[in-house]
Amino acid sequence: MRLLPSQIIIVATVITFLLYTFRLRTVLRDRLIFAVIVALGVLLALYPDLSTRAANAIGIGRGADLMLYVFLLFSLFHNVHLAARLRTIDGQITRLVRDTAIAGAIQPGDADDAVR
Amino acid sequence: MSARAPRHDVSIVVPAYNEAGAIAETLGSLKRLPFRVVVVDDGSGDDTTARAREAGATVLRHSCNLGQGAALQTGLTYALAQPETRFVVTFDADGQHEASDIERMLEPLERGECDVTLASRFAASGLAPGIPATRRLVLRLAVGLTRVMTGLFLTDTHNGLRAFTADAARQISLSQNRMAHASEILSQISARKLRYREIPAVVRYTAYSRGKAQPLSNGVNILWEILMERIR
Repeated sequence: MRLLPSQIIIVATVITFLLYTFRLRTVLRDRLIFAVIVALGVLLALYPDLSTRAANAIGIGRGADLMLYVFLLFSLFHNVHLAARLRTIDGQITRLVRDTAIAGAIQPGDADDAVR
Repeated sequence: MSARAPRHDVSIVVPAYNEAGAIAETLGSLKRLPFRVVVVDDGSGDDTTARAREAGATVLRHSCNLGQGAALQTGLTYALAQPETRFVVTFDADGQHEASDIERMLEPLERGECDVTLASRFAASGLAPGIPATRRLVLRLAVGLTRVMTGLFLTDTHNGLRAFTADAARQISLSQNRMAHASEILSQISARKLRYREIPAVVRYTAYSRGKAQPLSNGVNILWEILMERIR
């Protein structure tokens, strides 16, 4: 099976993405990636046929298809970012609830009005 | 039996979520032992806290439901904050365990032979009367998977009855709030090279415990939680 350059690039990007997600993420890198993607968007708005030329260069027929792939990868990236953020918040809530529970421990001898 | 002097160096942590129907009986059986009982009510919507108080337990209340792993960690943290604590036991609220097994769980720890004891319903035959065949199969799969992932040789990896020395319990830190904590405890036992031993102990399958038990499809959820945990 002969692989198109685009196929190699997409598979490589997905693998890099997974590696990044599980091993290489930092806040700074997240922001850099975000900035690069925004800059690319602006560039494509200024030079509309750039996407088609880039797509053709790597073996994808239409610029719109290239955009779709880029968009999918970007949403994946964004979702992971959100998931990680949620996990952080979960951890913070857990710590809060735990500290409150321990601070309000009800001992066997406590009167009813000591509760809550 | 209750004439024995109380031993506050042992804390039994009982995580409970909507267990008002069973907790009184479970705590009643624990009351015959001289140990301190700490119930963690994980944001129940029923009378779990009231029932636990009536039974004379110390009660910690989560203001919202976080999951069994989080409840266990709250109980461990509380128990370890008491200066007299030397051993911590975890015990399910639904009445599946036998209170009389606890002292056998503690013996090897008190003799200093190991740091953790884990109850097993499969260490000998006849310990899991009434266990549904599908559950037995899934638990067997979990045992195999644990062997591959942690290198621990166990016969039962998802048993809520465990005992730790205070020192070992301090080395356990649960971040898996939901059900994947059972695997998390084992992987930390393995990573910290804690000395462990399995103790044969009965798990009773009643209509109530079967109703409370997590559906088998949760196996997929557990794998997902373990994977998500790796995302930075």
